[in-house]
Amino acid sequence: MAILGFLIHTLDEDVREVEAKVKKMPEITTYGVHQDHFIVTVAEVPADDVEKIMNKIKELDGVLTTYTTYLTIEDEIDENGNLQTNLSLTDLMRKEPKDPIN
Amino acid sequence: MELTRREVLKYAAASSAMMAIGGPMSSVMAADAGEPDKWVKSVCRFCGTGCGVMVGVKDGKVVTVKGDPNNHNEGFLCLKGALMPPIVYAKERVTKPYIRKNGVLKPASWDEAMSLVVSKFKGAIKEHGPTSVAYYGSGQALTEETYLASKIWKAGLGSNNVEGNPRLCMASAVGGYVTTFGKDEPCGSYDDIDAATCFFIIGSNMSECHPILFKRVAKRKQADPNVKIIVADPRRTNTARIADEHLSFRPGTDLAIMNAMAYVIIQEELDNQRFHSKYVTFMTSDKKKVDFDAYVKFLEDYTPEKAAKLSGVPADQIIRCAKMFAEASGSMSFWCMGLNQRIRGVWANNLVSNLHLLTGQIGKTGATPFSLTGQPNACGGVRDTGGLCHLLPAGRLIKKPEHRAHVEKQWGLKPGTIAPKPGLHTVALWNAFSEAKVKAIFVICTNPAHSMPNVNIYTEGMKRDDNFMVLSEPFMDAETVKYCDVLLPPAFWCEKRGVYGCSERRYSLLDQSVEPMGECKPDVEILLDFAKRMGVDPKVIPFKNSDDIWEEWRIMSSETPYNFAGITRPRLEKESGILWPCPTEDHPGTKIRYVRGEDPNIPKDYKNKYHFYGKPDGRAVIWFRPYKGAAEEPDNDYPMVLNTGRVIDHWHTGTMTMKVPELRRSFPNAYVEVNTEDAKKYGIQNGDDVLLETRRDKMVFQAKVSDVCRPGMVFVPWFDAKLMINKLTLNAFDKGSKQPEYKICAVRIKKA
Repeated sequence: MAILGFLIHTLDEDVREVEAKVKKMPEITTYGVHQDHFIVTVAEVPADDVEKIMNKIKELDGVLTTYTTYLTIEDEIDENGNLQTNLSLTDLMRKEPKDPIN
Repeated sequence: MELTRREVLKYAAASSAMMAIGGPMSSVMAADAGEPDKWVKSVCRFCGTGCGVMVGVKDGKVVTVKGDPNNHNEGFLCLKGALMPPIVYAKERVTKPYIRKNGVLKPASWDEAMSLVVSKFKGAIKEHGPTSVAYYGSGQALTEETYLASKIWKAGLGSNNVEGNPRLCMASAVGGYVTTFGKDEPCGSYDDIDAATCFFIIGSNMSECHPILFKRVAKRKQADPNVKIIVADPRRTNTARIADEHLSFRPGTDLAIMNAMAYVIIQEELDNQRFHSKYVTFMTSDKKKVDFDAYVKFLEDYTPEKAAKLSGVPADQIIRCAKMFAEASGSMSFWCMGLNQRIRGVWANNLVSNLHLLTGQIGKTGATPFSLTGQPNACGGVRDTGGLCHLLPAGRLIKKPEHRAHVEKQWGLKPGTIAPKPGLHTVALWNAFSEAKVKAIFVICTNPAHSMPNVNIYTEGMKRDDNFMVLSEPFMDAETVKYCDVLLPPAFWCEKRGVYGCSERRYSLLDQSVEPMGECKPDVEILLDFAKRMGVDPKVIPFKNSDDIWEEWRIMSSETPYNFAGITRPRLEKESGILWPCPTEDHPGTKIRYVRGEDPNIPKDYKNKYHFYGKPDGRAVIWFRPYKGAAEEPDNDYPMVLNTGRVIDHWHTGTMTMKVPELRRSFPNAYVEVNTEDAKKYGIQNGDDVLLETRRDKMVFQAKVSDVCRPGMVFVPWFDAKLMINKLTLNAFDKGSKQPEYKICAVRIKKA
């Protein structure tokens, strides 16, 4: 299981709407809106679904981008009882942030 | 406040996001603890990253910790750092002195305990001379504590037997820097991370051992998709998982790989001839100066194909990595225990620097070799102050008469006071103690009965009646407590005031946040009392407190290239860390050494841009360092390699992290990591008990079967006192640095 801390950067006028939508996602916990356009967010997802959830959020109307600030991956056990540690973060790390904050 | 591990991780994740936007606090948890009465500036107690922290105090107690937004970590903390408060109030805290009587530690007064200590030390010196007494300190002690102890022993008692656990973790890095550049400590700083375009991480699991720096590397990669990461490690660690290239090599063969990278760089004409012809000396291992052509000839033994056969890394991958390193606009190397804890540790360090000197990837922002440090004050506290048996403050050597003379003058000693022969290095010291040749030892802030390699022989020695150990240790359950003759209760971390110096030459002040528990005293007070009772001349030890000690050390540094005369106590109180050299109070500190205009040791009108002033000719050295095997290679009887190290949630011998429920629950016991192929071969399933046996001892661990270890090796973390892997490790050491080879020894395994 991955635990991911990140900021969702939204348009100021959409921040509350985005927060409401994100709050409905079962794997997401939010920690408030800051500076009128940042939502402090934590996701708990299976390691392989990290990109999926991030993409889902980025596709919401009003979201400019997301900034990952924390990532920890807990060991997962497969059906044979072996640890699965195959998550490659390379592609995730390669993704260029859209509209970076200056 | 009882939190599950999951909740803690979520809080940490949320806090990191909050901090990224300069949020109101670093830890969301703080809200539950109530707003502190005050915040006190300090430094994290764990690794050598040296993250600034703010200690939240309420009603005279530490209630929370948050990252210092003004220090290099910009408010970020890893989980261990964020969870420090419970450690201060652990039920295992030692809060009064004890004396061992009939095998049992009995409470005693400070006067009884110190009187016994002093009678034993005086008796040893009287009967066996000053070399029969020793100090064994720590990279976790404050700078002032180590400086003071070193001065008491070397100038006051006439013994150079001053050692410490940095010998076990960073000595090879010191040896590497000194032989290559002439001076210890890194050339660059953490800021280089933000400009580097290629990271070469070798022998370091940054993601678990230095998570805040790893986060900075990952952030760099995230910001620029063209940034490349090369990780060389026999294990596919979390660090390796973000790499563009993971070189999984047979343990010990990294020397061949780095020579092969140099070979490729030259063959592809990617070396920086203008740089190395002007600023580099080529030198054979037997210290003969030779030319570039001789180096090219030496490297012929290290074609990528030959290195591939030795290491198991494909030749084309070695070629790709060499090009990646050389062609980048800025390459930054990181390494840690994987290189240092080896019998070829100094050589491995030299080979990393070779790549930088060959390509000119040094002395510009984003281009530097950079050793990571395991402890919070190994650099500033022990290396810089000369807290080892061969050193004097500011990188000077006991064996050099001119260095002794200079230090004697600075300390106001009669010429000839400092003994000319270096003392015993760590392995030799504990050997001598085990044989009762060293009669009395003062141990501060470290746990040698757990951390020494091949530890059984040392714990047996500690049991003897004809030697004496006094231990200043905050926690009653530390393994060494079982063997000490006197146990002293030290003030812990935020209960005292002093300086830590982290991996990037940054000195930061830990201010006292709360009063010490019970009868605890800062180690500075304990050592000052010891010196007074031992009759050390008060002119030699004139200090009243740690501020006095810092003042002397600061002024002393001004006559050396370490010059931090500008780092005054008031300045440290105000600022969150300053990098030396820093010669004046208005100097901002130094991010890049050996470069004109950056390093204050080089005159602004110096004729050349670079000046490696640690070497008489101003040139750094590219060393010819051949590949040689480990001290104990696998064979028919012991066919696998045993590797040891850390896990993210525990630090060193676990005496602190095992006090935090969330951390303890996540890794309650040590385990053995076995590759899936090996597991199949030996009929081992995940969770099975597995017997590990070396030539020194055997022990049963639960198996974690995965593809993290490469086939043919197993990994065991060393935090667990119940399953102490150091009973199995080897105490062979590097001839130059005297650092033991924890990372490689031969082992056999079978299902228990």
